Amino acid sequence: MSVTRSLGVLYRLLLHLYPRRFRDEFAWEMEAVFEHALADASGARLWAVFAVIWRELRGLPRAVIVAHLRERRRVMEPGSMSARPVPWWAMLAALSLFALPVLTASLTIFPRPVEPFLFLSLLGFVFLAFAVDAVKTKRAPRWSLPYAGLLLIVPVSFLVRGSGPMARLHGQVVRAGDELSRYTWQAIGAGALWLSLLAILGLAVLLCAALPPFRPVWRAIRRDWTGLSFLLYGTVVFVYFVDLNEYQHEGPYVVAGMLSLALGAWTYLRSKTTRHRILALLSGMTLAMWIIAIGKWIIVPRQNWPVWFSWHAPENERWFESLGEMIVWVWMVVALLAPALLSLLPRAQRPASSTRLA
Amino acid sequence: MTQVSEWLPLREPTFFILLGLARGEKHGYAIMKDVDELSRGRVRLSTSTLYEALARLLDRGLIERLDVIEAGVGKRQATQPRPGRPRKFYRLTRMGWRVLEAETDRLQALVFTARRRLGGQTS
Repeated sequence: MSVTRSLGVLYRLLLHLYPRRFRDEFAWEMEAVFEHALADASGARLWAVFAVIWRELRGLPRAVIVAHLRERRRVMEPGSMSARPVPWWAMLAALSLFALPVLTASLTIFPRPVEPFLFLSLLGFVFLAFAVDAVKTKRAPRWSLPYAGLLLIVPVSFLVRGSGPMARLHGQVVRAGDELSRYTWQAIGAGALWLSLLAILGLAVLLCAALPPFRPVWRAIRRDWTGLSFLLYGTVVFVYFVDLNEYQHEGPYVVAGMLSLALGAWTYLRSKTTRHRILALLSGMTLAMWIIAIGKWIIVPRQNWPVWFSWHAPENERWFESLGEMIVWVWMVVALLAPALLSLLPRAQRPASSTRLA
Repeated sequence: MTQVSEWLPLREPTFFILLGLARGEKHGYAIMKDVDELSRGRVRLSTSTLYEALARLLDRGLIERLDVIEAGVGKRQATQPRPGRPRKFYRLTRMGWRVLEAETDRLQALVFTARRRLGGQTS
């Protein structure tokens, strides 16, 4: 291999320092220009070749940094993502998902008929908001995604937990009876649920990419993958509902957890960059899951579970319930970050302004 | 829409790149050589610096790119480094022209002022 070709290969490797989008657009041209410059220089004297190499090495770090900065700015530019401010009613509709449990937990002093009335009123408002926004924007509005997540996890959870293999595994764990088996079951059970959800979402994304009528959805996902994370964010409400079922004195923790989730959703809807959006979701979800873990550690000994406590000591149970939530939290972090894998897929090259025959 | 004044003053390499394209469309290596020639060897662009500038100018709409598919097996085809791929040519847009002219006017005004002052001192 000649020196010129070896240097060309080396230069091609250095081009990997550039952001992917820049590389896709300019790499082969840059490589060609570099080889051309080298070929010209090698026709003169040896020092001319060194001069070309030195010039490239000197210019490369700055150019790489500038290209990365420009890429970051491009992501942050209004218009590269939905920069439209979220209207107050859409924000309210999004936050209703988390506000409803807060209201029902806070309004226990009222007679019971208030709860169904409140629930139906909020449901009606959310449906109306969805219809108005969907007609206006001609697509599913972003704020409605957590509702979709909640609607998705309910059947998936019943299918996964009730499936034959999972039931058999649960039976084995119950027979084993030791603490380690319980933690293992918690990790497997939560993992099966979140991985199933991710598999279903992955399949839906593939279908959107393959079927022409759904290509706009695919393009929207490619523009901003955090939409999928926001969809999964809605599933935390279900986690709260299931994990605090049959508990007493859980009210303050439900309120605190849901307010954390609402704050995360509010920050998400106001954020303009991918990084801020995913950080908002991770923060809201983490806070909510830690609140439930700490809450359980506090309230488990106060529960009236005589039969259960005859099997497991209250102290063990308090640790199991708290650490079990931490296991779920780890899986949820994985689930919220998993859509980021879509950003690794190659993007289409920017179309040239025109093509012609010379 | 970018305002012409937002671009001024131009950095020297940017000025020479735009000036290089004032005579018509050029591909990357030709721009590089032209900048070298126009600046009398003072501004020697590396490939990275050139393409960093081209990307910026493309993004801001001062230049545009043409994919030229060269037919035949003439001299241009032989020098084309990647056969089968359209060669990219760059040319000034209307906005690019306006920025180049505004910068030239600005430099001319500077030189005029300097000459007048220096002429006044020497006389």
